Amino acid sequence: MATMTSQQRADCAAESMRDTRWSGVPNVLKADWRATVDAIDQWVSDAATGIPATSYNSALPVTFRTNASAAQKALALVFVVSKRYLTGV
Amino acid sequence: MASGDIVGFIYKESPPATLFPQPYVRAGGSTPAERVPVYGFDASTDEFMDFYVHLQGYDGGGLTCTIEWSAASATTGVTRWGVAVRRIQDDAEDVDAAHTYDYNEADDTTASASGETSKVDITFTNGADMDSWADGESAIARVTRNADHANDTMTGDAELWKLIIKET
Repeated sequence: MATMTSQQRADCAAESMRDTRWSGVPNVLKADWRATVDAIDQWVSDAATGIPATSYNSALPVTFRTNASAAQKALALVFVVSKRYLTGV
Repeated sequence: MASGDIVGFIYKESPPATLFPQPYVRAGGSTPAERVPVYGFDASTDEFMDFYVHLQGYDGGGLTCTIEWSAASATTGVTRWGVAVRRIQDDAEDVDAAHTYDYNEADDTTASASGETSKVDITFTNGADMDSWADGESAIARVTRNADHANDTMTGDAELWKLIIKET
């Protein structure tokens, strides 16, 4: 799977800083945050064609797995990860 | 007025039609909590806030604009602030016409805690540098964060608390 374009990554970095859940990270500057976005995007791209994506897809119940698009599966993952880590499960 | 005296009296503040900072309140930690009104300047897109100012008691020594601000969340990094003046000269300046705002800028490192404030001075020499703003006249003092400048490294919003205009 292709990575985001440079502009998309820049937009992601900018939009995330506008999110009210953003709390800042000590010693992390804008350039550091942009590098982090780039790295995460690269990891997601790599994962989409590798073992993590296969494992994730296999873990989904068959009804959802066969009916949801890739984007919907990604959104589902976002919902769960956000709930887990932003509410301190 | 002597050097260091306040000579700019802000009678209104109003955001421009576009590219303005988000006004919000920052909750304090007391009980009941304070609601500190701030303008949040974006970390990626340049935004602008207009202050309508009357200059009184100005002796021609230049101006020092002091910006007091805080970081919405960051504890490290630099914000680049800018101020520009649009003189409203009696029977001469047509506010319906466009004006090119010429910013003087300064970098400031954020305070060590995001709830603390920092102050940065931006100076203007007398004359064209401050659009030839004269004693007794009004002007629009436009404040900006130059967020896409290489020196602006701080993540998250920069919160403007106040603008003070003094004789240098």
